[in-house]
Amino acid sequence: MKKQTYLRRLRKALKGVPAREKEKLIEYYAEMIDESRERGKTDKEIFADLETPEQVAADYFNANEGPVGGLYDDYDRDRPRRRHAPRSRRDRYDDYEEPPRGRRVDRREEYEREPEYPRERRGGSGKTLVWILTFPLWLPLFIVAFALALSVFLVGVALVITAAVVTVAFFVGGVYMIVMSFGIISASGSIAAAQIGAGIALIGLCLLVSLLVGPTARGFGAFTAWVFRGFRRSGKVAVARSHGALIGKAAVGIALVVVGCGVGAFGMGKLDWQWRNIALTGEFSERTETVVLADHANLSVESDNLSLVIKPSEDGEAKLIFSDCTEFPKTFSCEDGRVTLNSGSWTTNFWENQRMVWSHGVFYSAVISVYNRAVLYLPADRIESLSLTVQNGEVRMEDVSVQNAEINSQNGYVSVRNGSFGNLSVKTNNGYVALEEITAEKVAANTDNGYVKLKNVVSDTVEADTDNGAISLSRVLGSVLRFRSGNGSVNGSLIGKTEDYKITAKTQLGSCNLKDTESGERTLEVKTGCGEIKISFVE
Amino acid sequence: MDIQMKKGLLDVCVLALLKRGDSYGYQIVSELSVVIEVSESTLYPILKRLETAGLLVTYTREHGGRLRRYYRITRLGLKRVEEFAIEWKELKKINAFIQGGMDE
Repeated sequence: MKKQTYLRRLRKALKGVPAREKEKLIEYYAEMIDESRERGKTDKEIFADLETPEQVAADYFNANEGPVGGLYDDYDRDRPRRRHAPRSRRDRYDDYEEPPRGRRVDRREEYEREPEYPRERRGGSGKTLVWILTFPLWLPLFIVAFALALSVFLVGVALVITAAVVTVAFFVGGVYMIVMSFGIISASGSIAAAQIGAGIALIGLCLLVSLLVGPTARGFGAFTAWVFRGFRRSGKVAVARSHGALIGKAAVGIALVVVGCGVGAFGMGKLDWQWRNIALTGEFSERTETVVLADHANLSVESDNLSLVIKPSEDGEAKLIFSDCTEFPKTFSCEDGRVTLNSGSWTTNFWENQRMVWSHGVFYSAVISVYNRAVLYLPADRIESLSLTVQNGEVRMEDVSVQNAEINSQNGYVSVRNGSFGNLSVKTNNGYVALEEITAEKVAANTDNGYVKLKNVVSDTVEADTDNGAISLSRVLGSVLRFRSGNGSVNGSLIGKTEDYKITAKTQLGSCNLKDTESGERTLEVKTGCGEIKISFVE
Repeated sequence: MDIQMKKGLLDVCVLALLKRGDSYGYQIVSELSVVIEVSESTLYPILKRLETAGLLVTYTREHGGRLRRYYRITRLGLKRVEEFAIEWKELKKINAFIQGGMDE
């Protein structure tokens, strides 16, 4: 019989024993076997000497079910006690040998700190009094210690979970890349090689990261044990035992990473190290489309996945310039002042997307997205109102002034710099909104989860509204200013003096440096839920 | 020997051994088996019981690439050994009584 077989049978025989107790017992037998081996005994001798796992388990159960105490326990139990017998000392044994079940743990700690018999302790109530009287001293310390332990505990949990998730992600990603390479191998061996290499390297990384999961979990388990019970039981046992396996795994992981990088480098070498070649996207070319405008037109531009840059036109014509590739041509249409430009790669259908990956390479959408940019040149004087709607791209507008501008982006960042507007309204769900160097009659920025930044904005009305982002202000001037943030803060500077504003500031949980005032020509309303309000006034 | 009596004696034997210095499972079994019959499976519940009662504490040290669990006697454990000596006098009295009774 081998050690592992013995321990496995033991584990099986100990069914029903609490896990911690079981591990301790198994650790004990593992140590016994190791010690015997070190003394040159053969496995045959060792296991002939040792009781069978079933016998061990039986002994364990007997010992626990039977009397827990020592020498006289059964004697005392079986016979009526003579109350006048000189048995004070024996009573003491009973006291520590058979502590009441529920209090066993407490009692042990008591013994460690004060290794005396409980009844011989003197001045116990005095000590209690001292503890109570000094509570202002130790209570904060206790709370700090508790908070520290809790934060370390949470960091530990987060680390373990992160390592585990990264391990799984690397593995799934690696396998996916390797499997998907078979679709492209006939079209381009080099792309397949690059993908397979990256896949192998990922699986190697997965192995390396997985090595961190166990030790992190155990080290952190030991720490927790130390915090709650005192550092008696080391959590390092299993780590020390499996050094060999650990090194083996690490070696395999490193080898896979090296081989993967080699194969990937070979593939990339064949592709001239041009990242755009790692997917079958065809030739890239720049495309220019003219946008037909009527005078004082209302222009709307809609796009799915493109980042838009809007610049002033130099020749008075409206043009849209973007790069295109032959495999995924973008669709452009312009009708009655309504422009749509969609990237050819955009699909929300999962299986359709997998089919594209199979035939065009794992990185196809990444490659295309690098070129998912369009520049719109606008003759501002010919446009009355402009409406931009983008799903996932950024919108940057610079040096363009129109009467009405409405910008909508689901997930992108919206930035407007240097322009004057009648109405400027920006909405995003998850993007960040930055408005700088703006003069307008009305400015409204609205975002669910993004951050709003207003810098050098001068407008009759300025409104910023965000659920979860902060609002940052820098030299903002207006006659009506309204800022609201659900969970973020509102801070920064406004032009003017406190007396200029009629202030209404409300916060539910945050701090606030503004006082409500009744007079003032301008209106300032600030509301936050949890964030702080901190506004200064500058000239 | 009566099993209960042996159990109690074993407790004291383990403590007496640890009184001479910290020791680990294998060593305890091999040194004790010279004086009293003891096996791995009987020792474990004893160690556990003594630990629970606070008569000994355990810790681990690295040894040859693995960890070895050591046992150390506590002050309470030392007291228990001392008291066995007093108990032993009582036992001797009882023994004399038993023997005397048999003689009569």
